Amino acid sequence: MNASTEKIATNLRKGVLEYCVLALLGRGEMYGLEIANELMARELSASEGSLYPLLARMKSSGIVETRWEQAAGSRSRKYYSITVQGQQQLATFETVWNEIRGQVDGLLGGHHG
Amino acid sequence: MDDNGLDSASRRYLRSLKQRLADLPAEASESILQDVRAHIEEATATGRSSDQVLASLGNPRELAEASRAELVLHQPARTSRLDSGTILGGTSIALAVLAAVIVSFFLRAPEGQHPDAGTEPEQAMATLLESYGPGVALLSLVPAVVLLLVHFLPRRLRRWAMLGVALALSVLVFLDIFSSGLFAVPMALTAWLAATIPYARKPVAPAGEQLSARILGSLLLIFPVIMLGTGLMLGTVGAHYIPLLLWMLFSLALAIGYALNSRAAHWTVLAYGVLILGVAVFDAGILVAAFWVGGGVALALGLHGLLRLNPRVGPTDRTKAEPV
Repeated sequence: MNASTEKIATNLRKGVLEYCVLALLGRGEMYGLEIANELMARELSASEGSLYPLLARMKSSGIVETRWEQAAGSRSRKYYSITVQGQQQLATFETVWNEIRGQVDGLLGGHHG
Repeated sequence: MDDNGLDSASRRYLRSLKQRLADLPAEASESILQDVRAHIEEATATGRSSDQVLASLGNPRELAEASRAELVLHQPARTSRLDSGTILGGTSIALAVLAAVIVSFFLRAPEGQHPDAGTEPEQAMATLLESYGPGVALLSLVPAVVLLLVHFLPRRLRRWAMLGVALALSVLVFLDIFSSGLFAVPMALTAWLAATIPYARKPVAPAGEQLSARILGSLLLIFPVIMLGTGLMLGTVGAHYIPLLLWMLFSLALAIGYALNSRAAHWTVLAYGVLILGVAVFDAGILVAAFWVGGGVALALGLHGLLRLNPRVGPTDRTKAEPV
């Protein structure tokens, strides 16, 4: 990826990362590393570390919640799940996203055609 | 939380991150640290090397910056500004120290006489230090020490102690020991401000107080101009007209700005006061007391305007403060 591709991707991801996390959690609860791995595999996040400040903020604004679970070893895991408020936000995002995507696609299509 | 199972690089990483997150809300920084620790533990348990895991997390500084961007920007900015009590108390201590220096080292008077008594340079002139020895220098520092001590009192006592000190300094002005009374005027003024402004029930002056403070302030600023103007008309002041005229216009502008409660005018008055005090210390000759008092009054007016009158802020001042 060259520098300008990287820059465009970083700017776009910044705006949607929060909703990608909500969408992932919408499928079921996950612990930190799982979310990080999913985001990295989908190339939705450039740095694994930036996920955790985001999760802390999402938790403090009440769109995700956490639960501790004793895992197989001695270690216990902190699972994140989406709250009702989070689901409402995700639904709102989906509407807005579809609207923007339609408009942008239309413009780009016009550009190519 | 224990550090078992983490190698030294990971421990160092977490320690560094913890330090850098120290100024965030405890709950958030705790949560981030917990998550990052778990991330390192889990990721290394799946066989990734800790170097690789730490590298893909990003360095602690970046992570702390990201945390601040996420969490702090969503809260009202914490004001780290000095409170008015500290500013005013500190100013009066500085003025007290400077006054002590002037009184003991620079002030020359015919030995044992009032400074107004004789002005011929041939006459034996001595500083107080030369006349009375180092004891007087220590004695002149007493107000500064007392003002400093007030600062170490608990807040509730501080208010009453400051009032007492302000009163005592005002008495000192009239007692005029070693004809140095006038030199206590600036510290007494700021001590009064320090005893009242931080403890006022309403942080901003109510309308009546506003009006009288602004009128009094502009009158005080214009007062030397009127004095000098009268002197000019009577022909007692030399003919250095142009600089004098500029100064008169400047004073007039300051007086108007003060009356209009402009923030820029208050700052200028403050700087003007500091400048005059500086002249008093370094280059006032026989007028040292007048300059010292005048500078002190201007300084106190500027401080009062800025800290108590809630001056008008220009349209440009507010733009950078709050992130959207």
